[in-house]
Amino acid sequence: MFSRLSKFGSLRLMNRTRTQRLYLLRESTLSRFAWGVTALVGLSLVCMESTTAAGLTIGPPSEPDAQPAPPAHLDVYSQRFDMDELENPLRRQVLEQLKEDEEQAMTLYSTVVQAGRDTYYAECVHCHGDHLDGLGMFAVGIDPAPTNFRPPGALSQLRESYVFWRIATGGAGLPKQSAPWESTMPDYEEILTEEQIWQVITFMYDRVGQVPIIRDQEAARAMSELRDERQAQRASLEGMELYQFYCALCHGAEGAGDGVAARYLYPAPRDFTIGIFKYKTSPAEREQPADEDLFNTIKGGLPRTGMPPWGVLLTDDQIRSIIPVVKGFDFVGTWAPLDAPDEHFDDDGYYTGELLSVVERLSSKNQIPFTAASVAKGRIGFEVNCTPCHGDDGRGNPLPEKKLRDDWGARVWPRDLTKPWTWRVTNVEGSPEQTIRNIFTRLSVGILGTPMPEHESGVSEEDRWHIANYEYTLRNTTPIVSGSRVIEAVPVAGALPSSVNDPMWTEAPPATTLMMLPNVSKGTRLIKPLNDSMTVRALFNGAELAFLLEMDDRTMSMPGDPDAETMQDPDLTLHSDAFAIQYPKKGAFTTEPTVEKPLFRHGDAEHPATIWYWNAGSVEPSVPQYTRILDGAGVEHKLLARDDNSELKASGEWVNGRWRVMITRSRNGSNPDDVAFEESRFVPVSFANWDGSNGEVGSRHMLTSWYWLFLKPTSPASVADTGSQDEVMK
Amino acid sequence: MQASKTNGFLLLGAMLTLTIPLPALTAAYEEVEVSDGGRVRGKLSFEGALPEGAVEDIAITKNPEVCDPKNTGFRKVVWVDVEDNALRGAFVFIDKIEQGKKWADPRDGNYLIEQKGCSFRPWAQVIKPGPIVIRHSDGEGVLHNINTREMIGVEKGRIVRRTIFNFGQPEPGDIEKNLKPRRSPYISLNCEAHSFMFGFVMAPSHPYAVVVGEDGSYAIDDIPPGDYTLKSWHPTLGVREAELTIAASATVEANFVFSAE
Repeated sequence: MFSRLSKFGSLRLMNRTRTQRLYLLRESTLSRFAWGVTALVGLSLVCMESTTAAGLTIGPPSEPDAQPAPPAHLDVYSQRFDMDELENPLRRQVLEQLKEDEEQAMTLYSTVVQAGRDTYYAECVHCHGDHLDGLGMFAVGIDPAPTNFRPPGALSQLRESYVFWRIATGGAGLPKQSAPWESTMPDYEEILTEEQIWQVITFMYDRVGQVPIIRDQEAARAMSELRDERQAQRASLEGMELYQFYCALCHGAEGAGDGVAARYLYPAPRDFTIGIFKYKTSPAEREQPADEDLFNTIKGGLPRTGMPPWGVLLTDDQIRSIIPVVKGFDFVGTWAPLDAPDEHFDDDGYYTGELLSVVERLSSKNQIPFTAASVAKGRIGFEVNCTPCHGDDGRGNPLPEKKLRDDWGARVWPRDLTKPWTWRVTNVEGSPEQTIRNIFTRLSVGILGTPMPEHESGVSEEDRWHIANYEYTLRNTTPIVSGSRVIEAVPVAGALPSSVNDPMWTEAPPATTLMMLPNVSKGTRLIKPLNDSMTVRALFNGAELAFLLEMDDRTMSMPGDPDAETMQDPDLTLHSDAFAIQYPKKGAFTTEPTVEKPLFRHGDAEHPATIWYWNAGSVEPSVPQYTRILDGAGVEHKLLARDDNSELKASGEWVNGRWRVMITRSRNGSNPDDVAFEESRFVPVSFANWDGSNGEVGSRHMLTSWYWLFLKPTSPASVADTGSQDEVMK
Repeated sequence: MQASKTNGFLLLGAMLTLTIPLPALTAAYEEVEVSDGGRVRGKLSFEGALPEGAVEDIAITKNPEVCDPKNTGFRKVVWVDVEDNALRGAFVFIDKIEQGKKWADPRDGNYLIEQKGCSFRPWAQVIKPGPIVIRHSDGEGVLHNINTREMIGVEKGRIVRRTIFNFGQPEPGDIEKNLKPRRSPYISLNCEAHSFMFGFVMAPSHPYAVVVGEDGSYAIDDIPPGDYTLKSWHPTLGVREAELTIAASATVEANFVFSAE
């Protein structure tokens, strides 16, 4: 049976190997032929894996996966470009200038790179990352992952016209062999000017230290020399120069947290001028973090924020050289002793004496073992001290009247303690005991500059250990992200659940937690999301299919609701929360011989999609919860709402920082264009959410790319007895 | 929501940055005998219409039995307290005085911020930077959480509140802390457990600072003769200043008029 099913590999595995394979292709093929042309390998690559994370006996269809082959002509910006002749005009200017005046050429080149850098940090950094390694703060919700430009050859084996094509036309411009429907990449023709794209390209090559394929040998050599010179300069950077090169983009030239990227980032980059640092292990009475804390933050970064791990690029010595620079931006004397004499401050008030270097760390030598009794005591302490902000179940949902702000007046939200991937202090390698020590330290010393207080002063050490033990148990109460691309719907004999609270939901179907990404592709985009994941369950019987969508959301956003209005950030407009499920229409996707799907936002003209939409409603105006069935044929067209939505049944409930929404429809549906949900068949499905209090409405929202919905066969025989794969698929 | 948006206390919506340094607070103050000191006295008044959000009703949902004994459902937070044109809840102080009288000892030996009936008591006070007792007088079952923050940028109208200390206090009793700002003498208090509890402290380097009385009047004594800048800080309305010349053993009058502008 396995050999018969060998074509249906595990998608995850395929994705993981994709980057590697592309790299090999470039090495072996592209270097000789300049263009990478092979759609074959991806399709013929066979994967022997026969189970997926969801425990299915067959895996989902494998995606086409070819290195995108560029077209002969590119039609963008109202022009037709011959791809073979297209060159980066800005690089051409620099190369021309190099022949006459090297200094002027370098100035010109720097100007271009700097302009490209600023655009990159506004448009690209969220996905492709600070290090251009494809690990930006949104990358976790993107599969296939954003391209990593770091590996040797990643850019240097390409011509710049190729990169221009990929940026200008984005995911939608990919050929079918390269699965355009999976790509999040915007078509930048709509967002950037031609010149801006060339600037970004120049910056990208410069930042990773690669030189594009240039046909003119002499020009290529000159470019390589220029590259070598700049790389050599960069390698020896330290201290202030290093800071200005890398850190100032977000943290600002004077450390005030106002770099060019700052306005695009949430949370905002740290302002170093008042010496307040969130993450510290020094005791509470020490306002300063230990030097080791600063070092660890820089080296390891802060996952899911704009702060990347600098240990990837910099040596430990380079990182240490930044610490006094960061301290030096302080103008309140944080790094001076409290009794420092006047003459140790200059006329502007900056401290000129020896900077404090804190080495004290909070002791954890009295750790109380993790036992049921301790956890029970910890729950009581948690209720007294923590629930007003972190909510009864720890999802970070504060009482409505708490409009929490940090020292700079920015709105901040308490940590959701049920999702380890966003709770950084626990999201580290180490034993459970070590994780509990980390929790203990954090709750003991607090998070300076935020409403999170220290508890060393007011809560006994013993009670703090109990609370830490209890909080440890909260970590995995939201199902963790498995990485599976399959939502497995489970058959039930009788009626489907009648509500979100039906115990059938927790008993039967596997829960799949999906990472989401904000819509950065098209329309009014979302760049400051607050929520990040959705847990999906699905059940079906002979007649109907039901989904349960769960999402941690700190606010029940309902215009006119007194609590929602009280909580609302005055800088954002309050809208209603909403959820949606999308799938292609009948005939708008294939699973074999090759996979083809609609573009993942509203489909496209050739591949229309149907969307089931549920809205939480509002108090003012008085609108009860409602559903809509929407027809989509691409983001260029307005979604069309059907007149009759009665076949879609849905209801939702927000309790303790979590939405649970159930959406049910008949498996066949009444509309002949809609796909019928048959057993043992893989159907593309994707999900969306609007967090109304975060100003999310219209195209500003969170979504997933395509997953597979698989209705587990009622009788196992229906798979095993199938004679061919074709029948399995149909 | 609209009210709080224009409320001076919360005029912090956008991310603020401070790149222009302020003068150091740390100018040392020398205590000397002042035998022929002069006196300044006067009154603070408010003219014109109260600013939007001068009074804010904030819902009381936590510990209503303690915080809301009259069962009104909300706390009336009076950001701008005006009675018969007299402005209350403001401070008057001499700016940057480097030499003068000794600090008087605090009443009862300690400076004290008391949390009682879910209010900070007093609403406004002057302290010598240093030790202070934070007292929880609201009985078992009430969590208090004082957050004391140094207000940097008050005179520029762009305020960052830099945390000095912020701790949870679930049990009644006293906890001693060091309330010593780094840069700016203006300090705000709020309770992270009760969103309607606020207060203000001034912790200047010298003792020439007072809180005005219920009638808006004030007096500062034992000022060494000389020329000074006299300032008045109202936490919502900002800072006003006046030039001051003090002659030996003489009294001068300096009145401040605040308005919403």
